Amino acid sequence: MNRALMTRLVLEQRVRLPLEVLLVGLWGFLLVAVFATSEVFTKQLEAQADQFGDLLDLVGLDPLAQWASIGFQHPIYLLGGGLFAVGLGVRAIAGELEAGSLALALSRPLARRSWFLSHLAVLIVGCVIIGEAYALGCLLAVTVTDPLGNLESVSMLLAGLQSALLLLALGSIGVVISAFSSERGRALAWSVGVIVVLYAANFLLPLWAPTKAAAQLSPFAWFDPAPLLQRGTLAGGDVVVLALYAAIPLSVAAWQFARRDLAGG
Amino acid sequence: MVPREGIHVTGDPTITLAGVTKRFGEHIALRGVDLEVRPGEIRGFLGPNGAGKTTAMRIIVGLLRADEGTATVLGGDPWRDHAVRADLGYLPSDPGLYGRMRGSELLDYFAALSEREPVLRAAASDLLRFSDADLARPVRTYSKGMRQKLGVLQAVQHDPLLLILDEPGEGLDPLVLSGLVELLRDRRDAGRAILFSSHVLAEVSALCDRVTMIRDGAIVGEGTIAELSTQRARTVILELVDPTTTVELPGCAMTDRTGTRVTLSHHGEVGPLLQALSVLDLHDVRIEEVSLDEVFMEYYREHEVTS
Repeated sequence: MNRALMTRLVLEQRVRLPLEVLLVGLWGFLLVAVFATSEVFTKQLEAQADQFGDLLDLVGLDPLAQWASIGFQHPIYLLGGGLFAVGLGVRAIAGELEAGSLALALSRPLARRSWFLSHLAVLIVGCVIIGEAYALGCLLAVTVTDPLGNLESVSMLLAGLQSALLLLALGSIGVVISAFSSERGRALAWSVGVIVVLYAANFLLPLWAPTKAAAQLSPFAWFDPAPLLQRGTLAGGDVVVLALYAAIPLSVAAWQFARRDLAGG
Repeated sequence: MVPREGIHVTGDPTITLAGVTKRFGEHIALRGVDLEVRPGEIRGFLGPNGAGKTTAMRIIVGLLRADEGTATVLGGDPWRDHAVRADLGYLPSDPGLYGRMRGSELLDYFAALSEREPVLRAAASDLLRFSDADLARPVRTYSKGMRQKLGVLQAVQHDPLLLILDEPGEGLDPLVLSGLVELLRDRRDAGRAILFSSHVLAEVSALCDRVTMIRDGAIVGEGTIAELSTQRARTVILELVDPTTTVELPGCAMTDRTGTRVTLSHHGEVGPLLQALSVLDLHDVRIEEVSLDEVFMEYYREHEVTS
């Protein structure tokens, strides 16, 4: 990694990333605040507490945890995080190549590997910050609004990391397409298209028995923070699959970037 | 920053392209190009649009890989050995400068990437008439000429042993252009090698020690401007005292004769021609020096006819 490049990348994010963090954090806060102040939820919970409280405690189900879990998988959260991850991924190669800035940087004694790893480091850190921003937004709302139910801090922070892995997987799609492209707009369009198809596949393919198994091809199928938030159990297999979902495209992108001609820009 | 110790100017070529061929799919951008640029030399790289100048420069910088042949720059392979690029300064034809950065921040960034101190920044800024106030502004507020000046500055500020400049004079006003010429001459005198392309042939003839002409990916001419000129036809115009005088001069072919005025086309050395002219009875004689424009256009036309 290159320090000067890293500094530039971090400074470049000084407006966009805080805005996205604010959006995602606010989303987490509002979600829990709405849950806490909604009469419907409160009444349902009070009724459940009377009738099924012991049973819910026994199986570890918590509506607040479920609610927070849905927030992680909601399009608003995915859009906030995905904008950063895919945007940075696409800009890393195709965007800088089209702008002509990649040629200037790589005419220096800067290895392509350093360029790639520096962008990857910023991408990973950014995804983690966004994932944890949602978790912290939820936890802050729990402290402020004191809703019925239970949300473990450690579980929320771990779920934030798990969601960062999903965002990284989405970003890696942007990076690999960027590595094969010389135009930012085209790379962005392809990346968004692929991600939308994968998102839809996760919901639509399970509806029909013959295609149900194919839904597993979507990274979204491997991200469900509910067990972690409700029972404190991390699905290790899901984490490994998501990590592979990020690592494989990134490896292909690194290989392609190292050998490709940089003729654009 | 890495100090310059251990690196010294030698007589070895700074750039050696040997039989370099580059293809983009079906299109052959370079066909067996040979090129040598030595320390203390300013080499002009001329050719029409799409001739392969930029492709050759990108191979020299290490952005493209040659399909055939070898490229040796500063003693190494620019594609494989990124360390050789520490002593290289590159200005592409359309440099991508980050608009949100201030000029000075951008120069600091590229100096840091070069791993060299920007020892020439102040002197080069003066020559290019770039003030501190200009450098304090965001790049997005710059005019085209100012962006070009900043592009030149980022390429030269760390005093590289090799400068690759693609159309450096583009968008510069005459005053700044003369500063650029002074800067490049100064670098040449300091033993730096410079390869630059330009469409402004006056700029090339004023600055270059040697010129390489490229057309359709192949080198079609190379030498000093004087050498290239002697290979081309000069125009000789005679005003005869007697319109019936027979005019037969060495190396000359008549192109026009109107009354006492004779226009000839001359190839080769001028010595025998002057000797023959001295015995003719003439009112006036004019030998028009072949300009680089004419040399260039002649190479260009010749090749079009051939192809």
